[in-house]
Amino acid sequence: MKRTTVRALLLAALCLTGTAGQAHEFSFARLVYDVSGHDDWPRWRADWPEAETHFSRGLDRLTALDVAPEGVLVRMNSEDVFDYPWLYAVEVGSLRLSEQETRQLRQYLLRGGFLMVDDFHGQYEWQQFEQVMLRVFPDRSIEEISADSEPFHVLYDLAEREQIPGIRALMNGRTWEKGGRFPHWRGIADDAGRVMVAINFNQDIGDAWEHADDVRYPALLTTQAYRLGVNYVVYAMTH
Amino acid sequence: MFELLFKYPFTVWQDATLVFDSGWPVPGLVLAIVIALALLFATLTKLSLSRSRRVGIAALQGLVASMVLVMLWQPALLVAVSERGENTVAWVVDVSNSMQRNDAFNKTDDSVSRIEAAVQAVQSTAMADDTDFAAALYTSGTELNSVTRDQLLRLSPDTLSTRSNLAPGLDALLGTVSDTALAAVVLVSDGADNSDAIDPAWWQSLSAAGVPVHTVGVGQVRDPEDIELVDVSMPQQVQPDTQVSARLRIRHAREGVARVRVMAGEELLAAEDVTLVADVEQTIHTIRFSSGDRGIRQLEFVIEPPADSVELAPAADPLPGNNRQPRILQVIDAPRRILYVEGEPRWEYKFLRRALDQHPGITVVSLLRTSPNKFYRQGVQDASELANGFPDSREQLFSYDAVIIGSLEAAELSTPQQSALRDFVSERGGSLLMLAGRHGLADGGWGRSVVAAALPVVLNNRLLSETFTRTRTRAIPTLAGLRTPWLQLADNDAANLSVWQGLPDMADVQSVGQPKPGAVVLLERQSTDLGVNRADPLLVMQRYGRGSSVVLGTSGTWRWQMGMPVEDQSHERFWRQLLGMLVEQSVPRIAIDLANPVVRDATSATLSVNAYNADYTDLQQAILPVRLTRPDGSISTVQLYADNEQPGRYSGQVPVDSDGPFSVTAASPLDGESPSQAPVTAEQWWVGETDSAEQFNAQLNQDFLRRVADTTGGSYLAVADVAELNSVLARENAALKRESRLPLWNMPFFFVCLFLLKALEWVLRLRWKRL
Repeated sequence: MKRTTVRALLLAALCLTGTAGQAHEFSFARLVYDVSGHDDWPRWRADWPEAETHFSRGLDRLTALDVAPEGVLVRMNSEDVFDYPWLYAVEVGSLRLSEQETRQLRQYLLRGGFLMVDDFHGQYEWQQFEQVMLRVFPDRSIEEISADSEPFHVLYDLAEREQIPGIRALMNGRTWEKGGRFPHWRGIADDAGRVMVAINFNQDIGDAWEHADDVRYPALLTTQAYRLGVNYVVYAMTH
Repeated sequence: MFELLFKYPFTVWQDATLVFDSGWPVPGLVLAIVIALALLFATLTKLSLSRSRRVGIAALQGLVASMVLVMLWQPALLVAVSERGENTVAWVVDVSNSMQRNDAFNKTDDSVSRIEAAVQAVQSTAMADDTDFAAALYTSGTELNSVTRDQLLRLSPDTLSTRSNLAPGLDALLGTVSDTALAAVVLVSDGADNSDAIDPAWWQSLSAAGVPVHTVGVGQVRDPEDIELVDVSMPQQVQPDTQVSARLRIRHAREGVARVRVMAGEELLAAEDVTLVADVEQTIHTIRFSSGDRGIRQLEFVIEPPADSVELAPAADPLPGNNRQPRILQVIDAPRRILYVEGEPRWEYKFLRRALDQHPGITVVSLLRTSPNKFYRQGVQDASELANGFPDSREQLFSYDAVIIGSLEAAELSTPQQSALRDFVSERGGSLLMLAGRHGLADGGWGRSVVAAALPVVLNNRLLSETFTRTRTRAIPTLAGLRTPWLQLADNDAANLSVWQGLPDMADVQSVGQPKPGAVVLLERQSTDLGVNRADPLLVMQRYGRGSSVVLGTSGTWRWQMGMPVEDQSHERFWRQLLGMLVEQSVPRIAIDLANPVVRDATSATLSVNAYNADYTDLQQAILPVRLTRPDGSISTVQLYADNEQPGRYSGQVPVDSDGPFSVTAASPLDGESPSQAPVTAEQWWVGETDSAEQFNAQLNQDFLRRVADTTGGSYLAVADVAELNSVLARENAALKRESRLPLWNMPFFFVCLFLLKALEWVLRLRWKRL
């Protein structure tokens, strides 16, 4: 195992909260998984920790929810994940899950957990993610979430949305990357039609949260990213 | 001998008063005796007799003179006597089917049936020649009938009635007391009344009639062979897929292990063994089964007698007809509505809603404050429902069956809204559940609100209270909780305890304060507050007014769902049963009341309906029509009439003219509100049966017969002691006893005394040779 990976895992271990109970009703839980990129940089760390720190404060301010100011890191092979019914996974085009993690994710979602995935682009990364989810739910399909669906209206009306780009693409004058020109808001629903997995494809909501205080990132897009995140959280806590 | 000398029986002398009929003053008698004695002495002093002989003669003649003077004053006995022919004793013989049982005197001697013993008793007393009363003979079965002596003597076990309407029979008989000289009633019966007419008012009218009713008990109090399923208590309406608890009352004299089954047609819903202990008259057993899908279920509860110890086969039962009880279970398809008001997005809110999502019997209408100025509604019927937030009017609030208040400050509601919430429990009869939370219970200021009066605990009422903490805690059922049907998370006691012990810790906890007197603590939690290990209340419930209130000191049961495999249904079951109980306990707008779920051998049944307006004021109408559906599907309308003493209550008779399931549907007229606001119809089912009433409660009911006698001033006798009845009738007060003076001047005692006194004087004079 390379040094960076070890460092990352140590960091993650330090950040993983204990199970003695949370001081707040909602904690931004980020999924930690054992996949690194070509530069040995752990993919789950994208936008961490600023994304959740910024978003959590916004969530606390914009809703009546009792929000923990800092996020938590959880692994899918730990029972701790069940203490956090709302989970964020980033760069899921690189996501790999073991058999045990796959079973646990299935349990997590069917028990009532909610997974928001973000920051993956292009056909290749889509196929990678789709394969993972097919192992989790061989019997469920991934569908577009229609504009009139509740996740887009539960608190803010977001019938019309724009593609939320990563800041690097934005600096390059694009709103897309890796060939993913068109944004998609997809989902996997349970038997009652409730969205269990919210899939933000060809978008980088986390970057918008992370760079909310960066003058280079358009406030309009940040606002939409915040509102979308707030809606996902409120939806997850009401359905 | 006594009667020969003193003319009248000793019993007459015992109760009589001595008087004189001559009309002369009694002091005159004394004076006359004194004068007579003085004259005697004056006369005797002239005779040449020794002193002793003179005294002897004087004594004898003085006694004669005194006795004659007493006879002249005409002594008499003043008694109250019944005049034969003027006083009537009504003899009522129970001719219901239970009287054909052959246990009149002793179970081991089955040669005499109850009816034969009863007829013999009447024959030996009422028809005897020496009775002082005229006898009027009646039989009481379905109706009271006057019979002749020959008709009574021809009664046999084959000619009996299918019903014991003893109470209405006595009513009819005592109603004639003003027209006939009814001195007393003698009821010869086993006391097995099944008229459904015995209530406090009946006892009052029985006492007020003023006629002593003497009762003669026929039969045996306990039948060593019979086993009887006396009653099955269970809710008539339940939600789909919930656990139904049925309480069985079993009367038995034998011991052993009996088998209880619950059948729905050919489907076996539950079967359990019941241990019947010797020397215990009745055993109570609770059996549970699933309510199943919505609809009407015809159930039959059956008890199989304990196996014979030798042949290991069910022993013979003399009355197999009383081993079963039919019931109809309404698995209701009209969802009951719960208003859930939550002050912040919380996991408990989500998982509570999810637990009830698939429940067809309950709809959770929720109002969630998502941000300081926005509310999110779920489960509403239309766009207008809760559009302005918490209901402003009592009618709107009262349309819900239960209200859940989550993490919401009391100040979020106006004072009238808080008052309406309290009245929702006390006046409307709804159920209130308050959950823990940052803004809930004491921390939300509810301890200082008017709603506090309705709660089962005394909340902390300090201005700044911090009783809510996000510490893990475990729910521990109390003994009362383990016995509560709606807290059963498994189908038997051991498994239930195991499930509770295996539940994950809850996410948070809030101190709920001290339970009020009358409140029941159903769940507890371990607490180490102030450094002391103790159990603090977690789930507390009480009745308040017509409704009930519950406080749950946690909002972290969602971890039971997230911490257990998806197949585990503990979380769903807990919330479905808790909320199911809350809505079932709430008072409906319109409710039908029928005394018995099975109407046996009756031509009609008494039906009552309680109806309210939308604000739960009493519905005031002259009549209320209900729709009756017979077993053959035919439908008719029956009018119920307003009860003047109980506003909002309507009652009347509905015909029960065939066997099978009957139903009535009552509808409350709409009171200007939207039809969607509340259910305004109610349905009640029952079973009509023939030839089964006399199978139940067929033992000698001594208590009933004794109470009838005690209430009316009569006496109770066993049929073996019926010979004492005539003396009882003669002794005890009757309606037409009159004062009578029985002359004594001619009683033989006087003449015998006079003869003996004069004979003695003659003998003495002869001996003294001084005749």
